[in-house]
Amino acid sequence: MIDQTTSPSSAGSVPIFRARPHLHSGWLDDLRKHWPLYAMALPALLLVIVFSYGPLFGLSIAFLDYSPARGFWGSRFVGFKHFEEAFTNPFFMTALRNTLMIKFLQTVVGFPSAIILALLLNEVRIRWFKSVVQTATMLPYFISWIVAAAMFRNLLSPSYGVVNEVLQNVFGFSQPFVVLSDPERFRWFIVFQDTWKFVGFFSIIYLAAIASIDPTLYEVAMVDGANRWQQTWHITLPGIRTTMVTLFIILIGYLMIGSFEQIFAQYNVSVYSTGDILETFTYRLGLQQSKYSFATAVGLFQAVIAAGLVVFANYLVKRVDQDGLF
Amino acid sequence: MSQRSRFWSNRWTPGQILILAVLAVLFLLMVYPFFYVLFLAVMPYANYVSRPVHLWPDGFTAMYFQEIFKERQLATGFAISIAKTVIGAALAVVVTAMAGYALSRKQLRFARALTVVFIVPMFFTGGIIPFYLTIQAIGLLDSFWAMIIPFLVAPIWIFVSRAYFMDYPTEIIESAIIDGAGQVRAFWSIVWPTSTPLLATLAVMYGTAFWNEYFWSRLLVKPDLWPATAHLYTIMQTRQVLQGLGLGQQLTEQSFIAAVAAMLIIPVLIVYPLLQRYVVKGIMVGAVKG
Repeated sequence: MIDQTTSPSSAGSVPIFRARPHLHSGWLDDLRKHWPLYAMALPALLLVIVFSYGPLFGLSIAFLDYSPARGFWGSRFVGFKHFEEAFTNPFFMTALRNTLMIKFLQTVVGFPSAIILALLLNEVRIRWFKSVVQTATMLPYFISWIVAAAMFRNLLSPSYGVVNEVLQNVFGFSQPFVVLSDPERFRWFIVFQDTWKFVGFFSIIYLAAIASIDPTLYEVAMVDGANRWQQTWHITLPGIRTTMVTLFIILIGYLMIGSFEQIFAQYNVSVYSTGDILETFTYRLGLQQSKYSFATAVGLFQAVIAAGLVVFANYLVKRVDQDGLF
Repeated sequence: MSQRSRFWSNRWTPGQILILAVLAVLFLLMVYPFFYVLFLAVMPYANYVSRPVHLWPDGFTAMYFQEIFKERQLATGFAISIAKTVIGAALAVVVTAMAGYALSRKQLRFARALTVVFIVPMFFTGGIIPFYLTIQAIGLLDSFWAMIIPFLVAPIWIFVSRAYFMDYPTEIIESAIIDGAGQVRAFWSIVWPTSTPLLATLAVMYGTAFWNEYFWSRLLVKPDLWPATAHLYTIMQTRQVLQGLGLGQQLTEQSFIAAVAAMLIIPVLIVYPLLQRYVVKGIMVGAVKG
């Protein structure tokens, strides 16, 4: 998080004359002198204060018995009541477990898939083929989750989806193969659909890293008689190690943040046992049953753990490449 | 080994063929859902019921698309989607680029503090309920702007812009300021017109976000202001209920859903070459920074 370019050490190396004798009295001058620049940042600043910091302030209703009728100031302070309630709520525990489980599996499947795709694409010598496959794998990244949901519901429908049509008419299945309302299959569906949507996007990052590997390394290896596989194993993979580690840590940082828009578009009561995540759980509690405070307590719990994980991940990334995330 | 024979042996080794085959299968898996939804949207009902398996296109009808335009609310939804995307992306690009530029100026004493203000929300968010209550509290609910204003700033793009402007040649800006232009004039008349790659990346990223969003619109505004994505969600949910009761004409409904989905996909496919070019660039900038 340390910004090298604006740190005081870069201001000047020979501080014989100081422009401002009293540093602490200069801030008004700074504002007066550079107000047009500050004004340029103002709209974004106001928006972030209202719509990002406002909700942070709003998290305090987790400690109240908030109801819209009584309002924020009229609601009673109840301390950790809602948190205690959450931890004894079996549906909360299920949602917590599902959030972590789905994100874990998405990482386990999606992370290596993107690397393998990048390595495969890197081996392709036919330019048009490479660019066609790359274009196709990026395509799902740009569509709405609700459109993806519509597509897959049509594909997988037990009564008229093409998957079941083929299974029943070509392979002679007598029972429909149910995916979207079978708890166990739903989980894996969410995992593989996530890979489908993002594998192309992430492989681009690896391809960029591969492209920046010094080509003389390959030339030397070829002179030494290394085949393509040995070159991949000994040059390409070590060459993208930093990128791999960085992306993996970022994914770990987001373990606690569920794939909300994806699941909300596709889950239903019959798959709550494996598909209900913290975000969908808080949505139903808060906005359908108006248990604002309880839902916010769950959200606050999640936000704290998630923030901890992301900060920890960023710390690890910094140790890996010294720059940090931002 | 001659140049030519090495070229051919590199190209058609068993390993190469295997890789091409794997990628070809992957290509089909990636693209088939798109292909399926598009041909389903134009398959006439008669052709549908005459076959048990529908793997490829069969016949053509624009009936389902005509149905969309007969549903007044849904047709309006597409107009709202377009308005939301264009207005939202335009405002977001301006707000983000200005902030990124200000944060990139080294002479600002508070640039560092402001940076921290924008970083915190990337780590810590209030979640669904407080965000909703905030929008409710400032009285934006049920207004078109509820789908725009709260979503104008994504901090990650402020930082990508800042990184871009930090590499912008300072001499050009300084010479303009010596010539008597203020910082704001210098930005609008010199920096902005010459920053197309960044602005296009921002427009594409914000634009797709506004176009694809469906969840918040349903919460924040009434159905007559919903974008098409929000209507698609409701159509699918309703169909689910009908199916459960054994009612409803499933076949025509699934083609209808495919047609709505297709109308949301086709604009993306049209601007796709632009998307790919600028998003790849954006990922690169983000990846280099990150």
